[in-house]
Amino acid sequence: MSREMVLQARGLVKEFGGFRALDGLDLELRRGEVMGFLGPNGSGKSTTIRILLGLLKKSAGDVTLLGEDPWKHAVELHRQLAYVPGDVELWPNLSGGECIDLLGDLRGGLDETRRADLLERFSLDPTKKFRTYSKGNRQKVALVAALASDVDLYILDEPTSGLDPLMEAVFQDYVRQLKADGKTVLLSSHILAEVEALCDRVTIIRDGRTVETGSLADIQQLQQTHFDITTVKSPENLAEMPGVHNYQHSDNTASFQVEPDQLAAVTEAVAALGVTHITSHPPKLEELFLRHYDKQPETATRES
Amino acid sequence: MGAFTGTGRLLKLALRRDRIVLPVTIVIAVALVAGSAPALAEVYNTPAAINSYVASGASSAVGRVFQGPIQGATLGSILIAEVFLFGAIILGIMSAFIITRHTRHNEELGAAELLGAGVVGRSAPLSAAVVLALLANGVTVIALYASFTLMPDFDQIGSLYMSLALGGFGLAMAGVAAVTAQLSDYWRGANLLAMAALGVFFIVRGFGDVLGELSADGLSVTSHWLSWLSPMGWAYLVLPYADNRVMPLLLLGGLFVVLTAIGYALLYRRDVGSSLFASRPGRARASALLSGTWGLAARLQWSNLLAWGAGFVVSGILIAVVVNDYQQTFQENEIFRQLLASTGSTTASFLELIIALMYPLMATFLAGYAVAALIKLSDEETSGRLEALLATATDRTRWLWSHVGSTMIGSVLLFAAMGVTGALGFAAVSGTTEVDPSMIWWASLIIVPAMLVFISGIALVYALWGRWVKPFAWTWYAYCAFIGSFAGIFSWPDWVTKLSPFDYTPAYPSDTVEWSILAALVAVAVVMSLVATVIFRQRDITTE
Repeated sequence: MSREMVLQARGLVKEFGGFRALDGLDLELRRGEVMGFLGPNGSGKSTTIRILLGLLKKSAGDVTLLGEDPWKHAVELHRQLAYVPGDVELWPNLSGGECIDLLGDLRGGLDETRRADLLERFSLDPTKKFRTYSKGNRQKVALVAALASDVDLYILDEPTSGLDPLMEAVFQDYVRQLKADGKTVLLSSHILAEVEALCDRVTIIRDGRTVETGSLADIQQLQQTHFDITTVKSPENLAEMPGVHNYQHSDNTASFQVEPDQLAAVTEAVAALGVTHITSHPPKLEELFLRHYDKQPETATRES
Repeated sequence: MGAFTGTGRLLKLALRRDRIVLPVTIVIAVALVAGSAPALAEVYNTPAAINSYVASGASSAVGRVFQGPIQGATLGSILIAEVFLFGAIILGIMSAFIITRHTRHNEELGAAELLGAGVVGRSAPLSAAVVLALLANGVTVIALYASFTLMPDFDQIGSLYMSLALGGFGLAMAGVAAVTAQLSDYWRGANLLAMAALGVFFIVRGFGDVLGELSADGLSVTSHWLSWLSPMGWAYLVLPYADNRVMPLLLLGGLFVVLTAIGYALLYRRDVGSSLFASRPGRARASALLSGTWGLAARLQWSNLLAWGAGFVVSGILIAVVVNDYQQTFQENEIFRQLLASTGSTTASFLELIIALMYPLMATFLAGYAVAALIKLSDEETSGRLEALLATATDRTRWLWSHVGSTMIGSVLLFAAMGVTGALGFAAVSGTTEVDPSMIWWASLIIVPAMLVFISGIALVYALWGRWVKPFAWTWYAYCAFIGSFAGIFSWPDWVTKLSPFDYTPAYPSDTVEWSILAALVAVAVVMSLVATVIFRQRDITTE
């Protein structure tokens, strides 16, 4: 292994009463890496992050953060990390600027230049009382507080929910800068375009388990090609061909994915059916995402 | 879609959200008013005792402020004097909070937006809140009146008017909140405005009654016209157990209708989430004071400390004045003499006895300071603010103690302040050298160990069960206040009174101080708060 492990979780289990929120989750993060952490609502992303922050005690499994147990050494570890929660709730009576300074102070100091720059670029008014901020602005307060801290690890739990595309771009610039500076980022997200744009590797979880992990290029499904076709003859026989996945059709319209080495054979078969309409594109994370969650990738593919 | 569409559904939602807090509040209100009635009948059991009490109350300025315009030597007069103000304040706060919680608070949380986007009319949230306030006050009136039908010592018609006057005042406060909820753009602001109105009502009425005229027999007070400017004045001017007037009841009902109508009118003049008074901007940077865990705790606890501080300071003076004004009444009353004798040695003077009795009694009410301060622990956790804090290099112990510790320090300061104002007040009004003012200072401070037990008990429950600390702390508080008020009058089994830490406080200055008891209280507080710390370090931090 070339680079030092920043985070290592093996077989992580968390039970709340009878409910198993995490059921043997694995997660690894190396120094200098930006890791996408994906999963639907309730899959255990936030629970995992809360264990990493020492807020929840694991029920079983192993977890180390920067080489230490995050439950036992929470305070020391937190000097080296910054966190943005998914749902930012701070003190209604304090202004945004006060919240930023307070959190920075408690973490061990803020970079003043970055603080000013972030406020400017996120166009956030720090004098407004926290309770008067919209959801997006609340998110910005937490982002400024975290990104203005000079730490090694950034744990971001759906940090851009509520941000408009312009602000999303500012956020992405900053994460790229962090990456260039050799910082490590764990980015939990719903926004696949964001993950595709920023992350070196992704870990996908579902029902508290890791179902897929690796670089975007590594993940097998991502090497397949997606097809949407309408043909004169019924495309039914394609479903049985080797290398065809996620085949669905209605009447003479079908959508499916094809492995690279079967591409020649499949396109020949498609041509023989009398094509009236065809689109193909490299697979998107959406398709992978939805495949793992047992949903039909219909809406996702129709739009593309 | 009509403006009122969805009111029924929202009312159901409100009833469900308030299914614990409203019944508990109503039970506390009824228990305080109706529960004290048998005790009063027991203490003031002869015409002479009643006469003496009423004469003191009618002639004392402080008596008039806190007891209203007393109306003749009846047991009903004493009931009004003793509990009517409490009842009015509890129902007033309950009613105002019902309105703000289900209107402005929802808007602040964004829930109103979600609901408003559904099949819910513009007037529906306010309407549901108003109907809930009507229901809550209605139930309280019925429960109060029903309890008094069991007490033949009290005139039945008078009890009916007394119950209606309290419910009417509750509704008037609901009307006030229907307006303030439109004025401020945040929940606490709307509450503060409503509470400020309640304060003004109290002060105006207090002045009206102080300036009132004493009857020839010295047993009744006719309020000055100023009292008619205050809705709280109207509630008193129903004159339950005396004239039983209908007109002030109609005024209260009318005010409720008019203010609610103004609330609706304002509602239609503003956007959802906005208000007539905008929030002022804050600082762009945190000041040096807002630094670290303790700096934050101080910022969050400051207003609570100040508000209760006012209560402690006023209480100190009040006790001094009341002791002075009612000296005669207390001394002549047989039950009081027995009660006082049971609290201390026979060699203690009457004044020493009464001081030893009054301070712990007041303390059980002022213990609400600790409740208000410590339920913030659970607010911080469930809101997710604690998560944001603990994700920084903030230690759990440090955070817990920034609140528990500052509440303990705050308590010492408040009891010291009450002792100082009490000592000064006593020196100013009594002119006697029989009691050294330093005694009063110590009589107040000696309660601190019991308060520490109360605080650490609440902290322990928070460490164990998180959000359950809220119902627990308020219930324990009400229990201690109830025990403190009535334990001496009724003979209850020991274990009942010993569940209140304040019951252990030695009777000072009438009795010798047993240092071992104080030391034991402090030791219990230390152990409980240490156990709380250990448990809190081991448990999960949860959000809603």
